[in-house]
Amino acid sequence: MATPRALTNLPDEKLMLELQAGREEAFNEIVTRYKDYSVRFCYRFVRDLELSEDISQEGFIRLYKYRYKYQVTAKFITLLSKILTNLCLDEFRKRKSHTDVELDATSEDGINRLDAHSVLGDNSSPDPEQEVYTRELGEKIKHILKTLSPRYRTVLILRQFHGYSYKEIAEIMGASLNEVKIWIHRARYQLKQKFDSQIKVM
Amino acid sequence: MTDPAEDLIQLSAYLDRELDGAEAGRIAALLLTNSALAEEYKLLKQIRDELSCWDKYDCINVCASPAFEDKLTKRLRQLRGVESKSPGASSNLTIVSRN
Repeated sequence: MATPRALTNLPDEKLMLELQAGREEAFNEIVTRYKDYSVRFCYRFVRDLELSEDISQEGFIRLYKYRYKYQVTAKFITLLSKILTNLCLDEFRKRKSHTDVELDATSEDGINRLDAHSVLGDNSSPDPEQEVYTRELGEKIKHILKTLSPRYRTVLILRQFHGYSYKEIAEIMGASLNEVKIWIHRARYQLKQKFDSQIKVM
Repeated sequence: MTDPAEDLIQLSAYLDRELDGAEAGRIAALLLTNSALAEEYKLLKQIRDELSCWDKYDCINVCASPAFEDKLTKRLRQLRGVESKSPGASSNLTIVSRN
C-alpha cells in the first residue's frame, strides 16, 4: 500500500504523532524518508554496508517501539540520530571485545564506491593515480579512526562527516556543550598526532 | 593573559565556526600574531579537508538496498505480532517506497 499523499506533506514530528495515534502508514513515510539517511549515517561509523543496513533496521525498530513515549521536544532527526549513534556505539563495544574485521572498501557489498566520477556526472576518465591514493588514504584513515576511543570517534564522525553543530552533538550524546567542545579538540589532537606519524599531509 | 591549552580548544571550535563574534575575533587576531597557533590551525584544516574529501568519496553510492523495506516490513510484522499478542493481526505495515 502506498503512502497516502496527505502524509507526504507532513513534517517528521507530525508523522510521529500520527504514528502514536495509531496511523501505521506514518511509519512507512518515515522509513521512506530516512532509510538512505540512516544507512549512510551508520556507514560513517562502521564503514561496512551490510552492517550499516542491519544497524539501521534496528534503529527503525527501536523508533517504532519508542512511538508511544515520543514527545515533540527535539527535532525528529536528532532523535533518530541519537538512536543510531547509540546502536553504533554498541557495535564499537562489540567489536572491541571480538576480533576486529578489517574491511575492504571495494568488495563484499558488491558496490564499487570508488567509481565516483560516473556518479558525480564527471565524464572524464578517473585518474588511476588519484584512485590509488584515495584508496590507500582511506585505509589509513579507517585504521586511524579505529584507534580513537568510541567517544572521540563519535564526536568526530558527527561533526566532521555529518556536519552536526556542537549543540546538536551535545543533544545526541547527552553531554554539555563544553564537553563536546573539549572532546572534539582532543579527538582532533589525537588524530593529528596519528596523521603526522602515518600520513604525509599534502 | 590567556591559557594556551584553552586557546587550542577554542581554535578547534573556531575551525568549526562555533565561536561567537567576540571570541572568534580574539582567535582570528591571535592567528595573525602567534605563528605556532597559525601552523596548528593550518594542519587541522588540512586534516579536516582530507577527511571530508575521503568521506565524500567513500559514501558516494551508499544508500539502502532494494531489500531494505521488505526486511523491515517482516521485522515489524513480527514485532507487531508480539505487541498485540496475536501474530499476523497487523495491517498497513507494508513499507512501499514512493520512488
